[in-house]
This record gives sequence, C-alpha cells and structure tokens, in this order.
Amino acid sequence: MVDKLLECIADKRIAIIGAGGLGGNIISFTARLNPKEILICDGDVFCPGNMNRQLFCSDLTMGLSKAECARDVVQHYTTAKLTVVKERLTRANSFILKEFDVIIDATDNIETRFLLQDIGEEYNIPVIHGAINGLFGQMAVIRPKSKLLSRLNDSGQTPPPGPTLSYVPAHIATLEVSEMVKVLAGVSTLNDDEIIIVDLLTNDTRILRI
Amino acid sequence: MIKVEFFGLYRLSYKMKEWTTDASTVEEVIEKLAAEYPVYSVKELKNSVIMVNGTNFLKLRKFKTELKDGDTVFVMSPASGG
Repeated sequence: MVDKLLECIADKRIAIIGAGGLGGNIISFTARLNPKEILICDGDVFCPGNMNRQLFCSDLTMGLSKAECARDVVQHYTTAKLTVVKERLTRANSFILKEFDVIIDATDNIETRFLLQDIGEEYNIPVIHGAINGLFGQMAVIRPKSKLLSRLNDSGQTPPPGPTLSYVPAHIATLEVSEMVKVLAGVSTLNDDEIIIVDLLTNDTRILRI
Repeated sequence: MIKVEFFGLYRLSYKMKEWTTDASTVEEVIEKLAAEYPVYSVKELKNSVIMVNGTNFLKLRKFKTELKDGDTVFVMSPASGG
C-alpha cells in the first residue's frame, strides 16, 4: 500500500498555501513524499511570535521569507521541483494554482480559506482544509461544489485563534498530508460533508457531518 | 433536560465538556448559556457550529429548532488559525 501511495503522487503537483504553523510541517512532510512539484506560497516573514510552533522559524531565519526558508531546507531532501511565491494569495494572483492537482490550506484566516474554496471550485481542484485553535483542530476535504467551508462557517465569523502549542499544528498537518495522499490516490474515505475534529486536551477525535 | 456538549475553544473556556439545561429551542439554549456563563455573548455563540442529535442545525430550523427532553445539542467553535 505504501508503495502504491508513493507511486500515485510521484507525478502530482501540490500547492501549499501558507508556510507557518501548519504549512511548515505540511511542506516538510510533503517534500519527503517526492511529488513532481510543490508550490510554496506565503507573503509573510518570520517574527519572534512564530518561534513556539513554526517549523522553519529560528534565530537564523528571523525576518526572512517563510516560503524561501522552507524551500532552503527541504530542497536538501526532496526530488520535487520547488516553486516559491513570496506573495499573499489573492484573487488577482490565484491563476498560479490553475494547473495543480491539489491545494493544501495552511492559511491563518477565514477570508483566504473562502478564496481557496472558490479557486478549487473554479479550477476543479480539491482543497485539503486544516485549521487550529488552542488545543483543538479540524481537517476536511473541500471538493469542488461541496461548499463545505460555507456550511462550516455559516456566519463567516470565527473566534480569534487562542495561543497554541507546537504539536497542535503538527498533528493537524499530519491529518492534512495523510488525506491529501489518499485523495490523490483515489482512496480517501472522508466524504464531501464530513470534517474531522480533534481535541488534544481530551484526545477526543470525531468525524462530524456538516 | 437538554444535554449541551462543547467542543473546541468552548470546552477550554467553559472548563467543562457538557452542561445540562431546560430549553425548548436552540435559541433558548444559547440565551441560557450566555446568561449563566457570560464568557461568550449570544452574538458570539450564534457563530458556532451547532448540531442537534448529530444533525447540522442549518438543515433543521436553525435557532428555532425545537428540542425535547433527552436531546443533545453540540456546540463547536470552528478553528481559524494556522
């Protein structure tokens, strides 16, 4: 099974939006799977507040581009072509995602997540959604036309993210990369209306039908 | 009695997984919760993902969804950080 999964992603192009808490881990895990191409999109630079959870943040990378720092590390252990976009994803530059097989949501705000849902629908690309808040996180597959994010955030409002710990984004990143591989291999069992929710304080993990 | 189950930030903020109350609609649950534990306002709580007996309340009558003794209302704050 492992060989089959690796084989399925060898010719795939994967776009990762965000290179922070979720994104750093997702980029690292995905790079070791050696797909055809990884696009890393993030317009931000590292600041001291990122040190507690963002994989590529250190005293050596403070003030530097998150996307470039991620590439500078993973290029030493992946065969994937690495493309860096040092800009925030917007409607205006979203055409860069058109040719990708899957988009991974590693963003930190609801507006960009809704944009990813729209882009996925427009270009017929599945979006692997992940988000964290405190010791809690969630993961889902937003397949084109499913509008899962719209049902999840009916009001468009979410509470501001509270402080988190390093292993929370790593946990949700693991779920996102795992589901991405299964989606690309055609063996995902997570339905269009389902979301996995995880509470790491109580180890309570569930699948909700949204 | 209605069992109200919390998930996500609510579980941390209220420092409990479950709470029970008497209520005849989802709206009444939200109002009683905000009154007894003013950590979140009614307006904030209305941004929650709410399930009634495992069904998204958007597929029911939203805040007007009627409740009966023994029903479970699940209240979750969608995560937004990364």
